[in-house]
Amino acid sequence: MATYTIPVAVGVLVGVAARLYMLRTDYRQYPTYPHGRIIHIALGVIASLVGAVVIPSILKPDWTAVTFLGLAAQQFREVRNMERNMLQQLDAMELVPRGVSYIEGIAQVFEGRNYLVMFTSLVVTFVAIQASIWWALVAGIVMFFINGRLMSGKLLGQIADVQEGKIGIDGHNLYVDDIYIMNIGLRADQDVILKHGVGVVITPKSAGSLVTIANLGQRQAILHDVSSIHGVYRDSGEPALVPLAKRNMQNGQLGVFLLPEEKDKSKVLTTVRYVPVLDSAVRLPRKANANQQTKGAR
Amino acid sequence: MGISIQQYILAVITKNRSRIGGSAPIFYAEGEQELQQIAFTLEKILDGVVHEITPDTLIIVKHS
Repeated sequence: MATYTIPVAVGVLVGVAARLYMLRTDYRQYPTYPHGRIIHIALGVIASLVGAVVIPSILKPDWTAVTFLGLAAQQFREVRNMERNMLQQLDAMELVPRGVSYIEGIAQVFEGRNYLVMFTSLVVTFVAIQASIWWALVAGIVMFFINGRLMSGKLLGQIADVQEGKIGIDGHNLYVDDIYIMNIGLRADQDVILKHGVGVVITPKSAGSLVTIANLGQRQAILHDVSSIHGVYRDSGEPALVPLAKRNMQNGQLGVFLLPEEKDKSKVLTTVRYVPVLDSAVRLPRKANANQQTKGAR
Repeated sequence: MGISIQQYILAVITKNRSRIGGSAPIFYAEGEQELQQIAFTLEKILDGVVHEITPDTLIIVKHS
């Protein structure tokens, strides 16, 4: 087994490096907590260890070890539960919550990253055994690019047009362009909304994205992202000041009413364009049999 | 604070005594300014949103 020590060590090191690379703290401010980071780095070390010893145990061959590795990999399903529980508990304390779909998306990403770490260590160890350590490092760099590619999802700006909408109050009804948002009875609230509100109109580019932006979880993600980046002009005990997204059912446009603390419209529009498209909101109606009549019935 | 909400009326504020009745607490106001003043106070206390039904009548609704 001593012959495999260096390849396994290289595999583990590259795996941990891959986990650190994927653990960048971004605008979602997560995970910023020092302990949250330690949890993920520790799990990354274990994942890379599991990935690194797969090839040696097959080459040896030690089938008991392989079976146990399968069991160890199962443990990483718990990562998703851990993330979900924590974020759901914290969500109750947010002025504008993330929403269940967004949390599920984040939890899924955390689970997926551990499997990518395992895969990276596996590939690097394999190359280190079959070729040399230098080739293993090259493989590691290639895996970094592959990981970066696999972990990047679509953005809202790619599936829909994001434009500024005009906020208007007609009597007691609040509109963004011509999309009805809500009924505001209090003059004081109306004044605040006219002063601080920003309207955004999101027009879907295709039939698939029409369904995606109609998803309630996707809408909540937009509201949360803008509120967490640009702040939100609201407080507990001010229930009328709430950012909302409503749909124009005629054409599928989404009217988003926002209350950013810093009222810079071009920045808000950029933020909305960079909102991630949630996995759970993606639908592909064009792939359905009913929409592919040219291919004939099946 | 989801988008679908369970709502109920916490209070009714009106300038028109003759058209309001029922089980929710009813507050009567003399004139537009008092109507808005009562609604403002109640909104802060009850943590509900003020909605306008007619120019004479406002309701406070709890959106859970």
